[in-house]
Formats: sequence, C-alpha cells, structure tokens
Amino acid sequence: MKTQTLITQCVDSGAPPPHPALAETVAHQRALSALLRQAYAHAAPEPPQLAFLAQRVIARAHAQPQPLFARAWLAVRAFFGLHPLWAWSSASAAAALALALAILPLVQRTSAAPAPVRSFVIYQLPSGGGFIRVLEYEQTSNEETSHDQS
Amino acid sequence: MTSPNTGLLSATLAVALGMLHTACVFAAPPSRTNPASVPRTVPAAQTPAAFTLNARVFITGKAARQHGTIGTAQLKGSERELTTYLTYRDYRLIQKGSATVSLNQAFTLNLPDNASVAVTVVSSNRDLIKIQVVWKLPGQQDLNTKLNVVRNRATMIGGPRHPAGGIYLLSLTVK
Repeated sequence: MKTQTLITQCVDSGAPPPHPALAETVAHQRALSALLRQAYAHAAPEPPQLAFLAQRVIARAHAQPQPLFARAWLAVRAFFGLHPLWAWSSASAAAALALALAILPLVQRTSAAPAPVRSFVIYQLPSGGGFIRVLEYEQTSNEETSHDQS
Repeated sequence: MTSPNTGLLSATLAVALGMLHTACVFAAPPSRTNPASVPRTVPAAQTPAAFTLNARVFITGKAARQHGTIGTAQLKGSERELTTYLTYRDYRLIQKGSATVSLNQAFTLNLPDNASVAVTVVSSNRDLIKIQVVWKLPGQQDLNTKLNVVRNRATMIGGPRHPAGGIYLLSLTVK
C-alpha cells in the first residue's frame, strides 16, 4: 500500500522515485497514465489512482479465463439467486406469472360484466344555474331490462 | 306451550276470515253500501302517486348537423342554460312527450331509427324522486341507470352515443 502511494506520488508529481528499484515501475505507470490521459482527454480529468485501477483491470483480464459453461452458470446464479433450487423456482414462478398475465385479459373479456358507460346529468339549481355530475349506465341485455320494467 | 297444530289452525282461521271479509266487500252492491260505515283507510300501495313527466329528447353534435346546422334554437330557456355546461353547439329535438304515470309505470318515448328511451319513477320522497332511465338502441345492449331528480326542476340527462356522432340527450322535468 505504501509502495503504491509512493508510485502514485511519483507519477503525479513527476518526482524521481526514492528507491532505484521503483524506477522501472514508475516509468511504466507514467507511460500508462499518459496513454489513459490521451484516451480520456474528452472526459473528466483523470483521477490519480486511475493508472492503478486500469492495471488491476488488465491483470484480471489476463487471468486464466473460466470455461464457458462455468461462466454461464455463474451468470445464471448471479441473476436468479444463490441456490440452484431457488433458480428453478424463480424461473418457474416467472413463467407462471407470464402465463397468467397472458391469459388474464382473455378471461376478463369472456367472463366479466361489460364496463359501465359513463355519461352525465345536469341538475337545475334553485338559483337558475346548474351543476353537472357523472352518471353511469349499466349495460344490460334486452331480456333483463324488459324484465326489470315489467 | 304452543303446538304446531295450534299455530296452523290460527293461520288457517286468519286466512279464512280475511277471504270472508274480502268476499263480503266485493259481493255487496254499491247502492247498498253505506259510505259512513265503510272504513276510509285505503292501503298505501293502492294510493295512486301520480307524476307528470315532461320529456324532450335531443341529439347533439354531428348527428344534429346531419340536416343542416341548427344551433340551440330548439332549446328552451332552462335547457339552454343547462347546456352551457356542454361543449356541443347543435341540439336537434327528435322527440317530445308528456305523460302522467304512477310508481313503476314506464313512460316510453320512441325515437327515430328504432331507438327508444323509457323513464320510470321508482320511488319518491317529498320532492326527491328516483327514476330509472333505460335507453334502447338497435344492435346494442340496453343502457340502464337510476338517479334522483328534484320535482319541478329541469334535468338534462346524457344518453348513449349516436351512431352519426354526438349523443342523445334527455331533458326531463318531473311534476
């Protein structure tokens, strides 16, 4: 940690490294920092630790890659949860939810009563003016209505 | 203790007495009935509660302009005042009628194109009158609603959409 701070100071300030053993590392970081400055010239100013962060990312990328199946499995586990059983239950629940959402409008269309028709009524006030309010009509079949009126 | 037979006997006796009383009332000729002896208590259900319905049906908007722009010339004073709450410019009178009806007696106005609107007084409490309005349009389900109106006050009731555009509008006054 102290070494990294020391190198960061050398890269930022341009001062020579206090120990000759660090000279090569400082020169490498300066070169990398210059490249990053060029790359991010149009973006925000480069933070001091950017060179080391980039180095870590490059080191991770150069690490031995995992097999394709293992990476896919890790992605699935990261997406659904930690346990395979939970992954299966989550997937089945999501499928059931999608199916229910697809069927629900069809069921509503076939079984539910028709939506009420909205209209209005305007009442005359004693002062001569009026006030308006919402009125709802039920949609009924002809037989039902004639039965009601008989 | 009351046995079931006793209760049944009492009920049968009451029904028999009631039938006998009814038969006596209807069998007696009117000329021989002494008005002073006949009780004046008439059941409430037989009391004719009369309501005079004045109804005018308009079509508005595009439907009203089918045969030329008409504006609000066919609206009465109170109707014109109430329709200021609406955005339609044209109101064409397509039917009007007046009738005196009793409770639960429908007053039907037949409209052009086999449509109709029926108004029925369902109940009343002093000046507050509950009515049922049923619109019938060919090829559509009936539109049915109940609402309260005030006696002797004009009421404009929006109806269903007219096939040519605009709506049906019922102007109703209950007296």
